[in-house]
Amino acid sequence: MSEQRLRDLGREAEELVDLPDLGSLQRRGRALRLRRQVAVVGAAAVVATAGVFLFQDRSTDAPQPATPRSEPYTVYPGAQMQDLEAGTYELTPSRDGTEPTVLLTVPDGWNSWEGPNRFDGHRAGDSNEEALARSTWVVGVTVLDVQGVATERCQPTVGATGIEMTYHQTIRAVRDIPGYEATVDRAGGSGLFGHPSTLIRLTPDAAQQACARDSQLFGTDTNGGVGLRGDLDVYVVDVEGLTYVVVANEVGSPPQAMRDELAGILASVEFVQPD
Amino acid sequence: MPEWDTLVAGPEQQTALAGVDVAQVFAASYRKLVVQLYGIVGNASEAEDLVQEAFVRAYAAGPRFTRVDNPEAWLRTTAVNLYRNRWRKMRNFARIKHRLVEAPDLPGIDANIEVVDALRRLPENQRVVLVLHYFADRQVHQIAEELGIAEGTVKSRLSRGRDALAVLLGDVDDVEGGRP
Repeated sequence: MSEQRLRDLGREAEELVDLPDLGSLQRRGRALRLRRQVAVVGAAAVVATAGVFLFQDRSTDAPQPATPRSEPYTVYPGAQMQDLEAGTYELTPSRDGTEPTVLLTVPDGWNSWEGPNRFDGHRAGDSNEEALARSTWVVGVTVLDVQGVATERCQPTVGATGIEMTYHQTIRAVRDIPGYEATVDRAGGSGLFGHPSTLIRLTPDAAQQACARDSQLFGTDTNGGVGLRGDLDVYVVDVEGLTYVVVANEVGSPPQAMRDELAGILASVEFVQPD
Repeated sequence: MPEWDTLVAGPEQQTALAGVDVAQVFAASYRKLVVQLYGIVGNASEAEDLVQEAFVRAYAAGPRFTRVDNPEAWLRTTAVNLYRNRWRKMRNFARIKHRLVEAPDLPGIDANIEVVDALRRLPENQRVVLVLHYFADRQVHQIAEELGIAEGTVKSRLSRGRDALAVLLGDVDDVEGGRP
């Protein structure tokens, strides 16, 4: 009886499924194919530069279906406000499984927020949340798949439109965020992420700094909701046609050793294409 | 219900779609695949999303996709593995709770919602083999090949899944403890 009900469900439910626009799937498939080809050409260029051999994707075999991923890296836990163990984490800036994830490596002593951060203010027995509230300095980094950028000073929320912003749109939008003095360095981040990038240094004015904790600068569909304070180094990165934003922030006067750790984490950022 | 021997040794399913392009496979298999993934993940939106993503991967494979022996199985395997990878990635994010609470159903599924809910309560490995067998008409050896597990494991999961489902649906007469 239950087996028959199972068969009935399988058969009858088909009638309830609407067909999506096949053209849209085809366009996404072509874009993914192009990204993979660009990645292969990029890898081949690196190998050729090293004088080893030229690699080309000439495979004519049947493609393999997606495989379950081995998990060599720890999944980044998100904004848990707990101590992170030193190690390499995989952060997922986009909900679209065909888009890259990000590997980053953190040393001991960092905290799990939207991205890893570190601050002073710790006392025995207190939570990281309590320490952050008392902190005199903060450093942090996160990687976002940006779908919207603040257009008003102290904007409480920025909507995620579901529409990807282009590299140049993102640079202009970040440069023009109200409440910040922006300095654009077209060569900023060059060589840092293995992809073209532009660094925009943002320094808040007093009013923006006062409301920064409760305002949002970027709209994303995953690890958004970011209350970024202090001076911001915003790297806009073009990863084979997809735009990501890497944000490093400093509040107060962090010790040089913490700045060095922040620079090390930035240097460890690697965009990984999905299987 | 098929005899167990027939189930185990059942005829090779025709891979009638081999050599055809993605659009043809889409027309023949999209709805079936969504229902199969719905049975596995228990969430209609997630099922549609996963199957669509599998078709994106098929398009990304370009002309090589026509070399796939059984495109429907290829797409199903891709969708299931994407689901597993996605689940693993998202398990620590707060939104997973939100997604679980909502778990939307196929609109109009009301008559069969009890079966859907019962499936949701089974362990994933039992759900997968039940869906492959009862929704996708795959035989034991085909399921074993598709999942990369032993036929004995498939039989065992199928048997346990059937028994658990019968209990959940109040069909206690269906429970046969002695079947392999």
